[in-house]
Amino acid sequence: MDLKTLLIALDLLEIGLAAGASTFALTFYFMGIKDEVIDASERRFMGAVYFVLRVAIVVIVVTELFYILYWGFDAFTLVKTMEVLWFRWMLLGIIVANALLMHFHKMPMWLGPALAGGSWYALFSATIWPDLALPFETLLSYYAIFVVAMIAFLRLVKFLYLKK
Amino acid sequence: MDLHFFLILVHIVGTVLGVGGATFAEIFLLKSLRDGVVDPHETSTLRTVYMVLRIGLTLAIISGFGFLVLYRLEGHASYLYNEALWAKIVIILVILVNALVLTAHRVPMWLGSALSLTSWYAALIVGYLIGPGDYGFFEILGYYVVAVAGVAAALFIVRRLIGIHY
Amino acid sequence: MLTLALILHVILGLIAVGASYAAVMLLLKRTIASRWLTWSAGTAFLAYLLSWLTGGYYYVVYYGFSVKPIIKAGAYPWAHGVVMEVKEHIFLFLPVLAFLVFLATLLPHELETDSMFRRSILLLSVIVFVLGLAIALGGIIVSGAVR
Repeated sequence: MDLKTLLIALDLLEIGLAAGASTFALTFYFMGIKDEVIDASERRFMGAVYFVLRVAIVVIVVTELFYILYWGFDAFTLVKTMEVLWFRWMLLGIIVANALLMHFHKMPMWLGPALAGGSWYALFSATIWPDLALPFETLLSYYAIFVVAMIAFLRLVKFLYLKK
Repeated sequence: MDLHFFLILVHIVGTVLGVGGATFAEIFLLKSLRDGVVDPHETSTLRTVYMVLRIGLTLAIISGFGFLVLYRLEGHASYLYNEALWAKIVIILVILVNALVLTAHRVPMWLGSALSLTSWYAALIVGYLIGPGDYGFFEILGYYVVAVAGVAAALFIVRRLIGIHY
Repeated sequence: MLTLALILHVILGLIAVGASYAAVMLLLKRTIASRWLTWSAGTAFLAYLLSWLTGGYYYVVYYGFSVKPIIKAGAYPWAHGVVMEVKEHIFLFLPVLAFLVFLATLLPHELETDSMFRRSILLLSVIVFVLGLAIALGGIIVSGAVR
């Protein structure tokens, strides 16, 4: 197995892990706010999840940038077109910006988690979807619809689970 | 939305939940065992993680079989003899059997954890990275065994560093 | 109708194997969740039965005349000669074994208190699961030979 394949594998692993971690971030957040208090124990577990997410973001960004700068886009086998690549990098940008805004409490909680979860799932899907070659605008539209659906879904979960 | 699209979506969700679940099951187990005692809150958290993991596994297996039925019905039966597919099936079987033997306490924790973690990531990589003819069945499983050994060694070092002794 | 029969056969088979797996897992726990165990074993038995019926319908109406000759004339005749024959014969007794497991789950007190009985039922459940799994994998092999 050569370095190129190893880096692609690492990228795929990190994206899969981060998408899973964002699911747990949401799950533990809801579990934590059910009694309206996030105690020290809950904070510890959520801390582990956010740590994994941050490490994943760094590894993904560094891996992909290095790969494309060193070997060029044509060698990057995870995507078929430049438009899909730019869409994925846009998602990474949204994820990072959203994480910063949430960290400084500048992002409303009805939007932040949905944007984070939706973006990670969109990134994972755009990475592993077989032969994805849609135009950027189409991908953007699907993504926007997905985020709105995530907002609605999380609102429903909050209503059913927290009775709020 | 056609059936293939739907199966891909379900498989994505299953894989994400499974990979994330396996990773956090290990992380939270390590955190919980650090003080030598798994308290009720830690148990509750671990139970949630395992439940998510089982949901992920169920979704991944059902959608995976869905793909196989689709290949058969659409005249792509040759895919069913793909060596990478069978390597992935073996890896999924390892996940299933490992869960049973871990529950029965018939496998040491260091091996069970390594098998669980490595198997999920291996299934992800084999599923999405390896095309027909890239690698043979035994070659993939060879890499897999090496990966299990590597992860077991890494987890051993991590446990020693944080003071956990199984 | 035939496609539906094949799809149902596979789905029901998957449900049956999954439920068998759940039964084994529940029997391995220190304390038995008897309601879940009974449901799992009952679902497994019912699903094996229905998978048997749908598979049998598909075999009699279509497979025997249209698919079997293709396999036997193709590159993998053993897929029918060995694998399919094994599937057919194992399925003669698999639903019966699954039914026995289900019956045992109706005795939760005995399962909790009699360790020999519990170990025997656990072994039987494992056999049901392993056979179910083997049949499912055999189905993939048979399907893959249809070219």
